[in-house]
Amino acid sequence: MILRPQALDLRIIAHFLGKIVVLFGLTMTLPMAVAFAFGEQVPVFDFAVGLLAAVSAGLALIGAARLPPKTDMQWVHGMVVVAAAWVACMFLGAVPMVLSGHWGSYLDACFEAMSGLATTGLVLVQDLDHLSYAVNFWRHLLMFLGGQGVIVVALSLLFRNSPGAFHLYVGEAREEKILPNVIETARFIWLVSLVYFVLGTALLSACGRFAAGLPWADALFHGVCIFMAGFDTGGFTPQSQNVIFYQSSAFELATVVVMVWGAINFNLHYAIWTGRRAELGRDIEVRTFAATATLATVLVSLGLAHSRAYSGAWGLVRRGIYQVLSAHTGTGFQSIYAPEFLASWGPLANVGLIVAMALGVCACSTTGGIKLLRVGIIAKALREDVKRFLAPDSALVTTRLRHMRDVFLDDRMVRSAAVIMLMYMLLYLAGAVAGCFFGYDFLGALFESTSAAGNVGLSCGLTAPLMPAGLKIVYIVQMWLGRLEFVAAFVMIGFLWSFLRGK
Amino acid sequence: MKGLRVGLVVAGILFESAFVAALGLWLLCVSIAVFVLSP
Repeated sequence: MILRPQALDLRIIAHFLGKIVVLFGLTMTLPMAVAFAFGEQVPVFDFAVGLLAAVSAGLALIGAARLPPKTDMQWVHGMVVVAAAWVACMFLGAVPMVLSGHWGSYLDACFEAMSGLATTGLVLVQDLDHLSYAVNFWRHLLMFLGGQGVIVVALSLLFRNSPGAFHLYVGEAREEKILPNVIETARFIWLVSLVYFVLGTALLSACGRFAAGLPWADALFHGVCIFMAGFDTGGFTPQSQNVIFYQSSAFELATVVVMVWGAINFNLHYAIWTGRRAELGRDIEVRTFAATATLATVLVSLGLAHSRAYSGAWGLVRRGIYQVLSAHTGTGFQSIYAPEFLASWGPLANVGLIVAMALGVCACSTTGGIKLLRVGIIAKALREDVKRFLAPDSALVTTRLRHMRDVFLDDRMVRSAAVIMLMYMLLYLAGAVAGCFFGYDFLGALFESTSAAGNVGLSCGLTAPLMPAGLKIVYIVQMWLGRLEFVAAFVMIGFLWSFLRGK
Repeated sequence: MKGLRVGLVVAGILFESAFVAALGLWLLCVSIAVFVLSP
């Protein structure tokens, strides 16, 4: 029997959701500041409308909840708040975007907002090269907020340490606590990001100025935007030609450094920053990353060599490795034009990229996809099964893996990894079937679907303002499910279902 | 103490950047090897 939620459940959810929405609304003051700095007047009003909408909606929720003091949330509340917060932030984040007139409809703006928040990077913006600095900054800020985690942002600023805070943290697909206290963990994630923000922005701005020849103001703006999109493995760029615009190997190299920094587990950053540098070479995720990146590079290089997409080795190496790392880290920066993937790369190279996109990199990082901790666990389980068959019947076979500490592989761990991996596979396939339903060929549909659900952002050209509205909605749902790793989203759907059918 | 912590962080960042460089070089070698050896 399913129990129907009580009024108190709704009040708890409304209260915490309201707090997050208010905080999200307040972040719109940052693009307003950018508008003032660049002398833009109209965007200030667009963001004022967005800020007003978000703050009033949040305060209305808090006011309606009238939650008694010291009421804390249970698992179900935490999960529903997280899943609903991402949807609410999408709807509210799209307001200043649609008011700018650069998106064909509110649905397009919602798509772009979810693409930003989920750190995907697929775009539906029109005439990007004439978009105001403020709205352009907002697109990238959405990526930064989403990559850090909307909930991590809220935990750092709004919540006291309580079991409820931990429920929120886990709901956002971050199971690993770096420090014993979840609030301190959230703040450490911010510390890492801010340190890298300063370094990465300086590196990218210098490359933009000296290698790409941008004026200083533009170099700084591009440096900030590309850092937020690269470190949070998002893939938006401030102009329409992606990284091709910069025409610079040095700039591409700088983005690779930023992408890989972002793809590393925050736990691993902590270990390295506290002197335990050997963890980098011992960690199962890093070892799996080395193996899967090599596999994807072999597939892509073989595919490109066969398709003769580039006449010399340098073109192949520069474009091939860049796209492999961009796909694998889930960033989605493109050093080639979208139609080139299907037109000249050939099927094998595209399969290599799809594999890289599907896998992602580290858990507790800003990347999407299956995550290599799960891939590593399943590979170890397979190896253990083979060893068990080879060993004498009386032998006890155990497997150890290294992830911050030595862990013995158990069935629960393997089952959890296999279930999530299977869910991702089904999600990739479902999106590909939807693409085929709307008339696209299977390889292109699978490429785009994997890119959306794995929160990557590489596009082979399917994602465009004129694509069917139904497919835009499918991709929005894929991005949301992929970012939250299913559980919180399914709990929210179950919660809504229990309203209808509960007793 | 604070200086030591900052030193560790700087060393850590340099170490992570060296890891990126090593990974890039490794993939570069793999890619060139595939290109040269592929029929």
